[in-house]
Amino acid sequence: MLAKRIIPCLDVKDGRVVKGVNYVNLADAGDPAEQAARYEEDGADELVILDISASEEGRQARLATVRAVARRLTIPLTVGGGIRTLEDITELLRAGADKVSVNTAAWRDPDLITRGAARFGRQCIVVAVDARRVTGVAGGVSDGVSAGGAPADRAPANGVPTGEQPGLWEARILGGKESTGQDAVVWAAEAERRGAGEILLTSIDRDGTNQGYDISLTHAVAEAVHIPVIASGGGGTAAHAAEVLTEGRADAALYASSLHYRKLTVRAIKEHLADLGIEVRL
Amino acid sequence: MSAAPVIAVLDYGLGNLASVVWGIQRAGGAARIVSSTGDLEAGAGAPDGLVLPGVGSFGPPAKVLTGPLGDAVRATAGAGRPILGICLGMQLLFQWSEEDGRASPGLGLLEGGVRRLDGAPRLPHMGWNRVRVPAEQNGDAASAVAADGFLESGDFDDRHFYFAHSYVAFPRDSRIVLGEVEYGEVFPAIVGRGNVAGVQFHPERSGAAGRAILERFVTACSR
Repeated sequence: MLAKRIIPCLDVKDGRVVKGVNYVNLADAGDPAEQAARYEEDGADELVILDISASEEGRQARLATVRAVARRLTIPLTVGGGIRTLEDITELLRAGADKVSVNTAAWRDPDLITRGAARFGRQCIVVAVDARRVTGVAGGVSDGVSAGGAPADRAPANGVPTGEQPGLWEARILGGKESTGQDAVVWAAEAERRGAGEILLTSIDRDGTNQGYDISLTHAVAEAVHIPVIASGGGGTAAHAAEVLTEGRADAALYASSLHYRKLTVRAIKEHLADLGIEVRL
Repeated sequence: MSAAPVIAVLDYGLGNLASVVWGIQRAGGAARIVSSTGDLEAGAGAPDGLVLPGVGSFGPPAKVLTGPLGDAVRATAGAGRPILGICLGMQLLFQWSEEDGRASPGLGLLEGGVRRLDGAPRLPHMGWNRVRVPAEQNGDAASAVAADGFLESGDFDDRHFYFAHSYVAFPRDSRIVLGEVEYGEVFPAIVGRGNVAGVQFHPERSGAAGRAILERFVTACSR
């Protein structure tokens, strides 16, 4: 039986790991290769590195960091941030990444997904979907919208989407700053059709809150696609993983800040899952 | 102590070879990326073993291997040097694949073909899955086939390995299936006959369990 995966995420900027709370207020929290090795020892099933400055500033995830981390790891490595072209993908895979995660560029040029999958196989191409709740219907008014002080770009003040594909979540790009105007579930399904091998689904509302994954968002995307879904945003306890991997139907759960601060360990999460009868690699 | 065996890693011009090279190095081998027939020719400079790595689709590397390079790989196998196919590299050991909508020829070192995984809840089959020695390997004839190769069932039985694929290889002779795995259906995870073996997972990305497989291969190459 295929095991459910627990995936630590390192947000990296200028070669250092930084924490992320709703994508702002960054603070230094360590060396990527050191943290990667620590997570592997702790039982991580994979590792994700996101260069969170890259999309904003047009920077490529740094190859030296990727090489240092990839060389140290004996588990798979996914790298995302600022990937625009097939050359960017090629370079990162040559540096030792096993998969690349594409967000803004995939939305702007969906053929990049197709070309990447044709060249390297779809298992190399992860499409990152950053989703933000645009109505208060299921699960309350989104923290992201109220905290940001502005409604979603394509939603009127009452929070009801106006597009032809009304949904509870909109896909956002550029580190969450810009709306695509598209329903996140519809976009995830399109990414699959175009060749994505996996969806890295982040709830912008829950990201950095440690309050649990957005279960209904994850469930909606997992039902809409036939490729694996990695749930991200909000993982703060072992119980959160159990919830999103069963009710949310995710294949993997990604953790960031809660692991960086050592409130939680990968092993503790996986032991909790095993106790519940969920298949994990221990 | 003899020098580390030289393991050739075949480059068909695609993907991530770095992980495989590092994996071989960690297992005690000296990895050398090769892409031409000259690199594989018998003689003093010949590698002690060969890895067929692989991510991507069957077609492009299969095409590269239809020419003299394929002959050189078969000659390497014929000379008794250990060969390990990883993921797509394992599939390339077989006779054909239906991956590109028609039957593309493979190396034909093992009899059988490659088809899409049936009945899987999601594809690709992505992540860690538990490999088991097939029940039928307990028969005497099958055990003899298994014992003939360089992989040891104690290294992989009931352990998790990292998979990332949508197609699977089915040998004509099920006795060469040393390990199997279940995802939608039960299919071969490890095949081997004599000096030729293939693993559907990525040992270079399968932690300590994967390292044990690579060490076994490197040891076989040192003989």
